[in-house]
Parts: sequence; structure tokens; C-alpha cells
Amino acid sequence: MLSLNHIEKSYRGTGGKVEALKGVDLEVSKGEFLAIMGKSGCGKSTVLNILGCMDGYDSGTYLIEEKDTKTLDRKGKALLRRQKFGFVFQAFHLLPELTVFQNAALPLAYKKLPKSKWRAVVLPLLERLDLAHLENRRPCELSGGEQQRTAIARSLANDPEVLLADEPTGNLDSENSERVMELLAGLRLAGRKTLVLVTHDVKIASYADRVVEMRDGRIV
Amino acid sequence: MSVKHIFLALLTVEDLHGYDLKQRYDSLLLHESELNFGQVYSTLNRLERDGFIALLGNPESEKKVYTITPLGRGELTHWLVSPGKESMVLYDELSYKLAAMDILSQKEFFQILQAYKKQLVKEMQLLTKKKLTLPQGHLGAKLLLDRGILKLEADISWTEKCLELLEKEGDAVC
Repeated sequence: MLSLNHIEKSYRGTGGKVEALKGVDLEVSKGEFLAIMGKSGCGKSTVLNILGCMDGYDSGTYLIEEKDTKTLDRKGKALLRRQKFGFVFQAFHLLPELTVFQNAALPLAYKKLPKSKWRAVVLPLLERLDLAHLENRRPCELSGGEQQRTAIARSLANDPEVLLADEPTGNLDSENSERVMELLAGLRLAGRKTLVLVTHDVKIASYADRVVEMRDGRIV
Repeated sequence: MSVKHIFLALLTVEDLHGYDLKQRYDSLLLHESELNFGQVYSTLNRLERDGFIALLGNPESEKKVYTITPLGRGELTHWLVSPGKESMVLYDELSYKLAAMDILSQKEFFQILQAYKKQLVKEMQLLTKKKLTLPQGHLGAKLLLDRGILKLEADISWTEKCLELLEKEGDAVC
């Protein structure tokens, strides 16, 4: 479904050129739960950003369902990003002035779905993530785990085929981490989504069907 | 392996026959594979011989139901409060493997450790999957799986440390 072929990428840092990816080959199959594990700075988040079309690359090819992403212009990439991918980050990026319900419904607002239809989409998600009773709370009234679950609800509101998660439990204690991972693994177990997660924590990676490790810009 | 003590613990809850004991034992996930019937019946025979359990009803009956005796309860309590022998195992099979790896070149050592780490991660995936599919209420089995996962985590981070050290040691591994 997603196919990275010998992807290379470098950044210009203050100390000169930094080679972030040194030829990454990676296939992600439909419905798979893949974890990319590695220490900070190994390039795993860069891979995730490229997979989600949020970042470009210097050489190599990235195919999404056999379509070369190089052929897409900025608009095409943005559309693909919105339709195909959901994102979950370590920092939850919730809007503080909005309620749980409104935060989760944000993607629906962006795609201009009439407000009258939001409830039918968002409520089942909040129920699945055990957040329905908190729908009118604001982020500052929630625990870290509840905030991350709200962010997951938001990432799923568009019903994306692929969920990309960057250290989704990085700000959570072990109990909430387990809960969030059980939910994410549950999505995969139900055969509904393709899930790619990056983490430095092997316990988190072990929830995946397949674990690959990155060291110094390469998959080992 | 203390199969006999788990049997005694199960018999404190209710009187059971061999098949029930086996099924309940298996649900505790203490082994990768299920207990075989030969072991079930030889354990029961020994427990009966030592006076820790007794047969209920007719000994000639096909379905033999066992009950725990006061002596059996005493043995179970004694076992539970006695410290185990496993607390600080430093010299296990891995110690010998390490010694063998150290004889090889650094490059081989590095590659073997990398493969070993992958194996440990796979084992952790297996335990995590078991935990995810564990029916509600199996607290003992959950805690056991947690323990296995934490032990693997320690071994994985130790392997990572070895790999980093070898990487720093020189170009041989690159």
C-alpha cells in the first residue's frame, strides 16, 4: 500500500549537512500495524512525515498504492493527506478553547460537513474511546490520557485509511500508555485501519504486528 | 516447576477432577504449551501419596474428584511464604553465549547481538498479544505476562547497551 524505495534525505543544520535518511526501503501493507523503533535522531519521525506527505525527500521513490507521490503537486498532496491519513502526535495539539466534541469534530469542519451531521460521526468515536461522558469538557480539564484519546478521536473523524502516530504515548504515564496502545491495537485487530507508529519504547512497539528498527538513518 | 502447588491452590477454591485442574492450570498461562495429561495424573498421584489431597467418594468411580487436606493447605502456605531460588540469576545460558560470542570477531558479535535483540522483541510482541487477548478477570496471568514483558525489556535495553558499546569500540562493526 505504501512503499518507500531507497529514500534519502538530508537537512542543512548549523553544523553543516545532516543526513537524516541514508536509503530507506519500507513496505507497509494494507491493514498492517507496523512499529518503527529507534532512538531519537535515528530518522524515524522523518520517515513518518514522508509517509504522511508532510515532508519531501531528496532521492528515491515513494509510492502510495503504486502512484508515485513525485507526480503530485502541493494541492494534490494536501488533499491526499486529508483524505487518506490521520495523525497522532506526542503533543496532543488540541485547541484549548474547544470542547472534546468540537476538537474531535475539527476535520469535519475543515471538510465543510454540515454541523447537523457531526454528531452522528463523532459520538460513536467518543464512545469507542470512552470519552462520551467528557464531550463538553475543555482540554485543560482532562488528564493526559484523555487528551490523547481526544486527539485520536480527531484523527479518526475523517475515517482515514492510514493512521500515523509519532510517539503517541510519549507524554503519558504507563497506565495511560497501555490504555492508548490497547485502543490503537484494537483498531488494527478489528481490521479497520493501517497503522504506522514510531516510538523509542520497545514496550510500545511490541503492540505492533511487525517491528522494524532504525539506526542512524537506516532500517537495520 | 511447582505444578503441584498450583494444583493445591486451585483445590482450595473447590474440589476438582483431573481434567478441570488441567484446564484451569492452562488458563493461567504458566507455560507456552498446555500441560499434558501424563503430568496431571502423576502430579495428582504424588500429592495423594504425600497426603496433601484426598479422593472424594468412590475410588473406583471413573471421575475422580480430589479435595485438599489440612496437610495440603499447610504445604501450600509453606511454599507461598518461602523465598524462591530464582531471585538473582546472573549466570544463565546467556552468560555462556556471551563468552562464546566474545571469542568471535567484533563484527560477528555485533551481528549476533542484533539478531538476538530482534528475537527478544519478537518474544515481547508475543507476550503483548497474549495480554491483549486475555479474557477479563485473569489478574494472575496478566501480572505474569507483565513480569515477562518487563524482564524482556531489561534484556533488550541491555542488548542495546552492548550494541552501542560495540559501535563506539571501532569501525569493525560498520
